Order: sequence, then C-alpha cells, then structure tokens
Amino acid sequence: MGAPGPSPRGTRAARARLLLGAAAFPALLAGLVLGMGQLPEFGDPASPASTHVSPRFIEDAAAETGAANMVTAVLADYRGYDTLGETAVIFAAGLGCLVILAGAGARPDLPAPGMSHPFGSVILDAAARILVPLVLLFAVYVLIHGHVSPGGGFQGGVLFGSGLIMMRLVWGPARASRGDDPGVPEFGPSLRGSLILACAGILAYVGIGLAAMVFGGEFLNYGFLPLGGDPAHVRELATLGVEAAVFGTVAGTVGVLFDTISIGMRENGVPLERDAESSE
Amino acid sequence: MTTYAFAAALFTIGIGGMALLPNLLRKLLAMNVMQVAVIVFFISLGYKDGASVPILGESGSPAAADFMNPLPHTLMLTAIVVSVATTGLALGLLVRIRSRFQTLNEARLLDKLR
Repeated sequence: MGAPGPSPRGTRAARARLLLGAAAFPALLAGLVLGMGQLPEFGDPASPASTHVSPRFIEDAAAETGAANMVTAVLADYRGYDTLGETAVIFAAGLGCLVILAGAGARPDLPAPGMSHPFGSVILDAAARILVPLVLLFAVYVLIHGHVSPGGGFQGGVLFGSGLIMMRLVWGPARASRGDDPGVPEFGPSLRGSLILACAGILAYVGIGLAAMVFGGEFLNYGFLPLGGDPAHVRELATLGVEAAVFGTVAGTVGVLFDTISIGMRENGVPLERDAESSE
Repeated sequence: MTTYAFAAALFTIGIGGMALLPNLLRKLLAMNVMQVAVIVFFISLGYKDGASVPILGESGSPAAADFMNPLPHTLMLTAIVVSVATTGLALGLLVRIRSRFQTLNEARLLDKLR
C-alpha cells in the first residue's frame, strides 16, 4: 500500500480506524476459534452434517438418478431448484454488468469487445491457436462426463469461458476487425453471441422444468419426461440437459462479463496502467 | 481442527481487509478471500475419515460411511461460480466509479460525494 499520504479527511480518522480494526479483528478471530470447540471433530463420520440427508444421497443417488457422481445428482436433480436459482444469479450478474457498462439496449452498435490492443506476439498467437481449441474441447468433455467424474455444467462453463477470454486476450477485438487486419484470426463469438448463449442456457433450464410439468409431474421433476427407458435413465438424460443449460449460461456470462468490462474500461477512459491516484 | 482455524483466519483477514483497506478494488479482493474462507469451512464440514470422494465406483450398494458428504461439495461448487460472476459485476461497478470520480479511494470518494 505504501505511504498513505495526506488524506482529505485527515489522518486522525484513518488512524482511529486502524486502531479500532487492530482491536476488533483479533477479537473476532478469538471468538471464531473459541466457537470451534462446539463444532464436531474434523472428519467425524457421525457429525450432524453427515448423518441426516447425506446418507440418503450417498446410498440412493445412483439408483434413483443414474449418476455415479453424487455431486452431479444432488446438484442437478435433488437440488434442481437451488441450482436454477444459482444459475439465475449468475445470469443476472452478467446482465447487470451489461447494463452498468454497455448501456444495454440504448446502443445497438456496441463496439468490438476485447482489449484495446491485442497482446499479439507470434509466440502467443501460435500457442493460442493450439491451446484454445483444446481448452474448449476439454470444457465440453468436463460437461459430458459430469455424471461419472468430477465435472458438470458449472466447471465446464467456466473452462469454456476461460477459453473465450484467452481468445480475447491474445487476438483482441476478434470479429469486428474482420477485413481490417488480415493478421487477426476471425474467431470467437461476439458480445451478442455470448449474451444469446447465456439467455438460451437459462431458458433451456426453465424449459426442462416446465416440460416436466406439462407431462404431469412437478416443476423440475425429470422422472415424468417421456424419454423412454427406466426412470433412472430418463433422469440421467434430463440431468445432462440441465447441466448443458448451466454450461451455456455460465460460459455465456463469463464472455459477457469480460467483454462488457473490457468495453467499459475503454469507453470510460479507465487506464489499464497503474496510475498514482487509483493505486492508493 | 486445523482446517477450521485456517478458515477462521482467512475469514478474519478477508473481513478485516474489507473494513480497513482504503481502496475499493482491494476491498473487493478481500471479499473474495472471505468467500474462500467460507468455502474451505463448508468443504471441511463434508470431510469424513476413511471415506472416499463422492463418486460411485464399481460397488453395487454404496454405504454412507464409504463416501464423503456430497452436499457441501454441491453447495460450494455453485458458490464458487456465483462468486466469479458477482466479482465481475463488482468490477463493472468499479469501472463506473473510477470513470466518474477518478478515484477508487474510499476517503476521496466520500469527500467528492459530500
């Protein structure tokens, strides 16, 4: 942080705040450590967290939902409502960033997303040409294998989003510069494309839930979907659909967040370099 | 016990940073540290001695004692991604604040708001 320098509000208030913090936060830490005595022993199989609903998930999840990965079964099936809510929160964060920074709707001609100048050295370009397709492919692998191995829509979506960010970082404003600079690969979705992906994901999630209602079940009760086969297999397929919907929302939202922030920083004249005023 | 203490220390660092650091960007990073503390705490609650990861192998009928509690893993899985998204939203707000007030310093901001 360096020397605080003359603060407009005077150093006395700042010093009083530091003193208060120096007293209050060790007290908080002491309270938390004392409270730990009430917690169950670390790793205790008989702790309350592991004895009520958890044995049901462990013992019945595979037979009921067809997913060997119990985390996926709990995430997409037993706690489908919760996951729908979390997905909506992520989607709303992306929309919020769009509204705050890009003036949603008011400006149909959004500028090209990406850094103001691509990093663009030959080495980065060559590395990204190999890495980006592999990252995107691995993201889809993580999504599809969410049933049987660690993975699923959230993890795959974030991986996919990181691949999108890598494209932007290395290649700069991708689509918009088509024709202007033949050295820039014409690859990567536009901001609009990311937004459509996010919207499609959350709509597909709600759609699967509503489809279960149409076929006589409760909202998000996948067992009623007429996909054929035994109930566990139907639930497994529906779970994959839900995970794919989450994947779309998360990947699209990561793309929207990066693009709107990069656009917003350029449009609002926020420097990328560390300047004296903001580094305090 | 050590993981609980680790989580408590991280939580204190995070919440202390949110309260004491002068720069809004640093406050945001401190909030992320606090979120990590909560995640560590939840995951450590799901740990069971002698249990495996909650992914079924070949065994036909799983016993509850053999697998860790999948519920905290599920909750924290979503919490991590939500924290990424909310951090992005907060960064967007910071860009707006920086462009309007030319500073992210809390004291200077309060001065300009008066």
